[in-house]
Amino acid sequence: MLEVKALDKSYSSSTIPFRKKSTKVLENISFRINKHETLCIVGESGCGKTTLAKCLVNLEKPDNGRIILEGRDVTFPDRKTLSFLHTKVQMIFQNADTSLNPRHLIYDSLAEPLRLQCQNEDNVRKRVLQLLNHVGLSEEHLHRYPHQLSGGQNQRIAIARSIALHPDLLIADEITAALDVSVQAQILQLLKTLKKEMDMTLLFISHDLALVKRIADRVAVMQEGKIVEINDTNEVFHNPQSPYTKQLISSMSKLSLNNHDLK
Amino acid sequence: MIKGIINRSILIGLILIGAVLFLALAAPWLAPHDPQQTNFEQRLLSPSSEYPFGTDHLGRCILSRVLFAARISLFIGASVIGISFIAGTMIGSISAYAGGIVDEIVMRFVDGFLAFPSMFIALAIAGIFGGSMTGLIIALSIVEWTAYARVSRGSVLAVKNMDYIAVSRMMGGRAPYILRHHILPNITSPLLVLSTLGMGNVILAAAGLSFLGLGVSSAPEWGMMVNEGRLFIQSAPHVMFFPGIFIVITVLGFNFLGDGLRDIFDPRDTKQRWRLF
Amino acid sequence: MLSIRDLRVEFESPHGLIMPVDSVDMDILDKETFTIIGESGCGKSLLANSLLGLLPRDAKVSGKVHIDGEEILSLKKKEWRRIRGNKIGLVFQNPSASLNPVFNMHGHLYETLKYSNKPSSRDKMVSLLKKTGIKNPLRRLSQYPHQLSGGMKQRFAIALGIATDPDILIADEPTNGLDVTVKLKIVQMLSKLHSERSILLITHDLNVAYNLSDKIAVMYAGELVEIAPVNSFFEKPIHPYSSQLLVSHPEKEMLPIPGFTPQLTQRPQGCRFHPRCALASRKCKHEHPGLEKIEGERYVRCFACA
Repeated sequence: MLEVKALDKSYSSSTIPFRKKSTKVLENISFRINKHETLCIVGESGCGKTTLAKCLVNLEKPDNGRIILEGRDVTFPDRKTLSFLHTKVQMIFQNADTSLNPRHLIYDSLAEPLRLQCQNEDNVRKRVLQLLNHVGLSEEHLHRYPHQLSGGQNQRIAIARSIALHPDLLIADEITAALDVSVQAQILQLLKTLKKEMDMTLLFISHDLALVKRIADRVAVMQEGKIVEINDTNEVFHNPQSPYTKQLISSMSKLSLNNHDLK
Repeated sequence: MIKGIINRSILIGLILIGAVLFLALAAPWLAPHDPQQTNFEQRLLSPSSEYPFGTDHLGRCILSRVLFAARISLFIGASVIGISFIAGTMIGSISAYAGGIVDEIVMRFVDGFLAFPSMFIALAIAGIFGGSMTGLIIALSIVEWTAYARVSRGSVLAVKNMDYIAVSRMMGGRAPYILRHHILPNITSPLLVLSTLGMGNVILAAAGLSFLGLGVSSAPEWGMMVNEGRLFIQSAPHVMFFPGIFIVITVLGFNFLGDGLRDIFDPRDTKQRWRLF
Repeated sequence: MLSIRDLRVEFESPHGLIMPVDSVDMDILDKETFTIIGESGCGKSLLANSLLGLLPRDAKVSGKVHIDGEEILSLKKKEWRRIRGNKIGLVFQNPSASLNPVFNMHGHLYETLKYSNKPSSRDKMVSLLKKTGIKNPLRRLSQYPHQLSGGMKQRFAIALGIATDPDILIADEPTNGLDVTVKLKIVQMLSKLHSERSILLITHDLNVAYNLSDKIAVMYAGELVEIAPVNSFFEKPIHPYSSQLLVSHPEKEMLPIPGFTPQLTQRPQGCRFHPRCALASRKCKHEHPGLEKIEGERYVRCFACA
């Protein structure tokens, strides 16, 4: 459904021309996401996984390479292609506190994508209630502000908003990193149900290997802007090829709840 | 809700401003005499029951003049702040939102303005226009808007990289929509504080320019009145005192209000700590 | 070593009196690592801060806290200085924000040692850095916080915590925001410090708790609901919240706990966990359970399990 070919991206640290120092954040990234699967991208902080996600929804522009969505090139979209991209792909951010406008009521945050599609206010209201229902919140939450809800509840709102326009591909960038384990389990169960109900494909970005092991169909391991390994989940965890993956997995298993070595 | 928000500074500010505003609006009914009526028989009279604030060197009633002058001062203040607020905020926020080379150019332009002492620029511009109210307003606006441009730019830069802006773009929101729905509501508080505090400054500056003879000449104005009283400071100090005290009260009122508002909007306010739990 | 009896922290809020920490009883033994686990907002950080006298001014603290037999909650401001550093050391939650950017490592250590009247020789500093696994300590001493990686800052924060050789070290989320490889190294390093002094560890990370603790206390809505030795806890948690918490971990079944954590102002009557509990009976709705001792060293606050 989505194919990425040889994507490069670098940031320059200065705005002064001719004195640019550029750092490569993405280097020759190629992979594909198949319909209905859950692909996880794992990597430590600063490995470029968020930048990659942002490139996929056109929030960042890659330097080189191609992104092909259902046969259509969306790398450098014009206006029409952009709205095609936006109806197909949506992204949820790590921190729900910053992805909801603190001055907007929950209702207005949820209504925003619908209003942007110029739907009339009756339909907007109906759909907002429907969305709220989908993510397990009740009507009483509608007329509150984000700071009056918990982190987990805000993340539910962010999820509800992202599915408002029925995307086919949902990108979830570390969406449970700031949450507690029990809330994380709630959010992931929700995501799993929604994925099934709405027939979505999921690109899940995380640094938590235990979590990835549990939910991924395939795993891509990123290190310093490169994909060092991409394979089926079982293969990656039981037969890791790259030294980096091996190191990650060994760290994870040493901290694991089933390990007794450290004691 | 309201009760919890209003603090002492705001209350004092509102009372002072309210009083001046009332006097200004009610001037035609409160003023005992025609403010422009000269009477050479009764020059430089001390305050009495007929002339509560006394008379000036042309025998005009100072109370009446002070009351009518309040209208001019407040009008000048409001229009200068209005113009600078709108122009400055638009320029500043668009510049920050656009970023890159646009931002660089606009901000160097603003720096250019700030490189000169503001009174100096105002003097020069007011001089070009001669003594007129329009000239005064234009001169002060040209000085004042840079502050709004800088503050709004700073606030926009802080808000611009928030994820909800990215989400809005991803949902199909374009720049004007995002500016209106996400950015402007988030930057109004510092600008509101700035404009209240600025109001005092503008009234003071307008009085200053009038004092120097570059203000409104056709109608009474506080600064101009202080200037006229300067010659008689020994023999008839009341001529200078009353317009002066009105300047002080008005400026003080706006400063109190601005300070109070700043306390409310300051995120470090203890009352807002409940959000942490 | 450290004993806490009926510790409460209260605040006057716009919505009435709230009690983020409610009648906490616990004992930390000599050279024991005692871990409080709990989810955000359960009051665990506030509990730690109350032991250091670092609460906001409008907080009301009541109860008794004894360190080596000395009651510390009733101490005056000046006397707190003697306690902080000498008796209790702290590892701050977020080293990027708690290290002063204009001080180098030497400056931070010097200030800390001086403040509690300890000798501040270079040798002492070097040995502290070595102990926390910072390589090349002499060169590092002259470096500033921005020159250090996240893991290095965390190591240094721990070095600052143990610099004054406190009897008990409070470590509030020492591995927050670290990548798994770095986290492993910090955990390994902390487990080496383990035998030297008592540690009160505050964390929401079950893996860290499992690998570092001797005893676990679970906090829910301001109360301790279970205290148990680490192995028996992870083998068989008793309180319904503890067992559900464990089950929601990705390495276990990752089943969510239904419902939401109650807000500070809307805590349920009776047992605070009853609206989310599968074992809740009528009694749980109306009566508030106490922390009861059951087998050996295990304490549980639950009618159904006690």
